Amino acid sequence: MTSPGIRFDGASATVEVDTTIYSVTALKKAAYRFADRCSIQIGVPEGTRLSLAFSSVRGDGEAPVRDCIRNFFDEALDYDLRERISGETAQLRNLILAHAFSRTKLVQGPGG
Amino acid sequence: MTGLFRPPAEFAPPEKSYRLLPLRFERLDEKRVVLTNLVGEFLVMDRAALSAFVDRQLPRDSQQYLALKGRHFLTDEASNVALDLLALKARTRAEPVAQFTGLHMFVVSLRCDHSCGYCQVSRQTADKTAFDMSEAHAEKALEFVFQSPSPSLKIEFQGGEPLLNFSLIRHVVLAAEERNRSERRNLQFVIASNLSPLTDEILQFAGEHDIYFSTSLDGPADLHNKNRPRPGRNSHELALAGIDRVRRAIGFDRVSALMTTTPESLMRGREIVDEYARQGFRSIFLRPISPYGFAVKTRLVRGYSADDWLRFYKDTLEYILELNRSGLDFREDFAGIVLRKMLTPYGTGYVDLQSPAGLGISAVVYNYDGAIYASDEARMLAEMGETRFKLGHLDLDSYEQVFTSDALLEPLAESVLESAPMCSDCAFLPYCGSDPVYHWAMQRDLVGHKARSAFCHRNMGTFKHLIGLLEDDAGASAILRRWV
Repeated sequence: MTSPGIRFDGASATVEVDTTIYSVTALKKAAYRFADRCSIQIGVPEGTRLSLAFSSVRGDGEAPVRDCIRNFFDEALDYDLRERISGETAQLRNLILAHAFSRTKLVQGPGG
Repeated sequence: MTGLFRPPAEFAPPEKSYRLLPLRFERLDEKRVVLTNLVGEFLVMDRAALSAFVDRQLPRDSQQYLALKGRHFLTDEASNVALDLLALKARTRAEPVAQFTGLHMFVVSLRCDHSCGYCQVSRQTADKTAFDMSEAHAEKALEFVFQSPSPSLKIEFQGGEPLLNFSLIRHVVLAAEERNRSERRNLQFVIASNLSPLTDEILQFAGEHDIYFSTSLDGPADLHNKNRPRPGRNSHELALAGIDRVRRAIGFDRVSALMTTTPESLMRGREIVDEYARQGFRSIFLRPISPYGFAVKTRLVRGYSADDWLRFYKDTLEYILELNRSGLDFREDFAGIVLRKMLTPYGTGYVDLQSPAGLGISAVVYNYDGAIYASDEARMLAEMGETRFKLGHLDLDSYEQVFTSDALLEPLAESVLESAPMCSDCAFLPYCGSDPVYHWAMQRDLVGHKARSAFCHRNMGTFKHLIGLLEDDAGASAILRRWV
C-alpha cells in the first residue's frame, strides 16, 4: 500500500471512496469511459464508503493501474461537475428546446 | 488607522445573480477544458476557471464572464435575449432532419473492371449482366424518390462501376426529369465512377443533363494503382484522363474526387495532397477506410488504428495549412464540415455526423437486385451476409412500409446522441454523429461502447485538434475560418 485508501496487488488495486465527495453516478460514468484502459468493479456501498476494484487491461505491474486510478478520479470529478451543471440547467434546456420546435410541424398538437 | 480592515467589497457575498445555460465540457489538455452550449458555440478555459464559473465566483467584469455571456453559457438580468437566440439557433441546426431523404443512391450495376482491396461491395466480372439493376426496379425506385418530401433530391448512380450500365442511367435521368416537370424539385444527378468506361456519348449526355461525376483518386500513380488494381495496372492513368475529359467536355467543376486511406497511404499524406493540387483540385476529403466488404476480408481495416489515422490526418492537415500559408487556396473537406458546425448555427447534410443518424432519413440505397438499404455502408454489410439494415424490397414493400419498418426505426431511435452513454455528456455532441452500421459491424451493437470505438476516438481527436488550432494558432485559425 503506497497511498492512503489504495491497496495494490500487482496489476490490480482496490480503492475506497466517500460517496459524499463523488456521486455513484459520476463514478459509474467514469468507469464506463475507462473501459478501454481498465476494468473497474464497483462494490456495494456501506454507508458513505464504496470500494472500487481496478485492474488494468493495458499491461502488468503497478504503473498502468496507478496511472489509471489517477486519471479516473480526475474524470470522476468532471462527471460530478457535469451532473451538477446538468441538474441546474435541465429546466432551461427543456424550455429552450420546446421553444425552438414550437413553431415547426415536428410537434403534434392536442389530439393530433 | 489604515491596514487593519479589508475593504468592504471583500465581505460582499459572491455574485450569484447569473444563471448557467445548458452546457457540456470536455478536457482539451492537462489544464484546459472545452465548453460547448446547446448549439455548438464553444469556449476554451482553464478547468479551475470552470469550477469558479459554476460556483458563481466569476467576477462580472472579468474577460471570461463577458466571453461566457457572449457565447451563451450564462444569462443575467442584462441578457435575457439569450434564450430566444439559443432557441432560434437550435431550430436552424435541426432543420436538415425535417427535410427528410435528399440523397437516393441507385446501384445500377455491381460489375466493375477494378478489383480494389478496400472495395466495399463484391467484385463481379464485367460480363455478368445478372448484377445489373433492371428498368422495372429503377422505375419503382424513382417512385420512392419522389415520395420523399425533400425539396432537394439528389440521385447518385453507384456501383460496382455504374457506367457499365449507362443505358439504365440514361433511362433514370430522362424519367426523373420528366417526372420533375410537375414536381419542380431541385433535382441533381451524380455518377460515382472510376471513369475508365467514359465515352463521348456519355459525356454529351452528362453535359446536356447537368450530371456531375465523382471519382476516386488515391494519390500518386504507384499508390493509386496499388490500391486500385485493374487489368493493365493503369487505373491512375485512366482516372486522370477521365478527369481531363470531363473537364474539357462539360466543365472544370463537374468532376470531384475522393480518396481512401489505406495502410500504404499513412506515410504519404503530403504526396497525396500534392497529387490533388497538381490535378487542379482545390480540396481533399481525408477519409479513413470503412470496416466493410473486402476491406475486412483483406484485413485492411486492422491495418491501422484510430491513432495511426489521427497522426496521418494531423500531419496532412498541417501540410494543407502550409500550402495555404504559401498562397495556395486549398482545403480539407472533413475539417470544413466540422468547422461549419463549430462556427455557425447551421447543420450540415453530411450523413456520418448526424444525430439521429442519417440512415434512410438523409440517404437511402436501391440495390441492383431491388433490395433497399438504409445507407451505402448497410448494403456493403449485406454483401458480407449481414442484412440487419435491409429496409425492404422494391417488389414487395411500399414507401410507407419501408420508412416505418423496425429495421429503420430501431437504429434511428438508438442513434440519438442525447440518449447514448458517454455521448450524452460529451462536449463534442453538437459536432458529432451516430453510426449504427459501423458499431453494428464492429461491436454487434447499434449504439456501440464509445470507450472502445474507433469512430469516437477518431472524431474526438479531430475535434480537439481543430479547436486547438482555432485557439492556439492565429495563422491556422484565420485559414480554417475561411473554409466555413
